[in-house]
Amino acid sequence: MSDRFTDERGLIEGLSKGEDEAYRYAIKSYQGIMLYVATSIVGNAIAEEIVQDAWVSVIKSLSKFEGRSSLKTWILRIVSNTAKTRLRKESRSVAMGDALDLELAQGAQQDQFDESGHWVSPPTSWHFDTPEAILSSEELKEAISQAITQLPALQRSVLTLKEMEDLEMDEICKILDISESNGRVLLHRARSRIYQVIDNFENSKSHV
Amino acid sequence: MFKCKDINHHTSDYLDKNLSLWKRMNVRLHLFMCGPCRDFVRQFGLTRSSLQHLSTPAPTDDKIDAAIAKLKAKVKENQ
Ligand SMILES: [Zn+2]
Repeated sequence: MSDRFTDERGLIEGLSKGEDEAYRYAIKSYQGIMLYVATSIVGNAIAEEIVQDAWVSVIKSLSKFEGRSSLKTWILRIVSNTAKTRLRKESRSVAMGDALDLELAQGAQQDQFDESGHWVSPPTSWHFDTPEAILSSEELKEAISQAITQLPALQRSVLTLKEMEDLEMDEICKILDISESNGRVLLHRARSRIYQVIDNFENSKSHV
Repeated sequence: MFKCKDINHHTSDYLDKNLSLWKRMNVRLHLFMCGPCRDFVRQFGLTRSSLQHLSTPAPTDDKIDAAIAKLKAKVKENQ
């Protein structure tokens, strides 16, 4: 049934006709990342409402979708615009800048390095040598997923959009309304956090 | 000359091929000489590709049902 929807045109057709199965497929595919994006821009409290409003705009403007970007990117831009419009209405754009500053200030490099810039203690060598090996441990996979959900909202969005959703960095930064250099800092922070999770796991196992 | 701390700082941009040629050569030179940073960069790359194998968590079935119901109601309202 949903095979028809893996092709964007099929999905768009289903959505325009108001088919339940098309709605289900679209929400299953995009709702998660839409919520992350909305949360980064307006915060947790009204993110769900923003996503709902964005869906309505998506359905209403489907006929205007020209396919110049992927459907996913187009939907995420709508989420972003819906969230930003809401912020402007409530003149809360200042709060948004604060959130960015806070995330940039938080968790800057810890003291892994001495004053001369050398490792205090060199990184542990992992026994993992492929991504498959890392993800073959259910326990570690779960720890990684947990850590992603617990990242600060902007870092979580940048990481997810880049690695899981495979968007280009310039597009990600437009959607999240941040500069590309800030986006890259946040991406590095988020990846570093996940590195730490794998590293902790590796260390805890090697001591057993 | 880059220190280990600088390598750590530039690792994402290095792996994403987002460094200027000059910085890139400097990272390479450091990695050639420094085993710990080689380990770090390789493992950071593994972290990055592991993440690419994951997918964004999808909502649960009952959340999807609720979202469909709300969306249909709103679309109707708007017609
Ligand atoms: Zn080094």
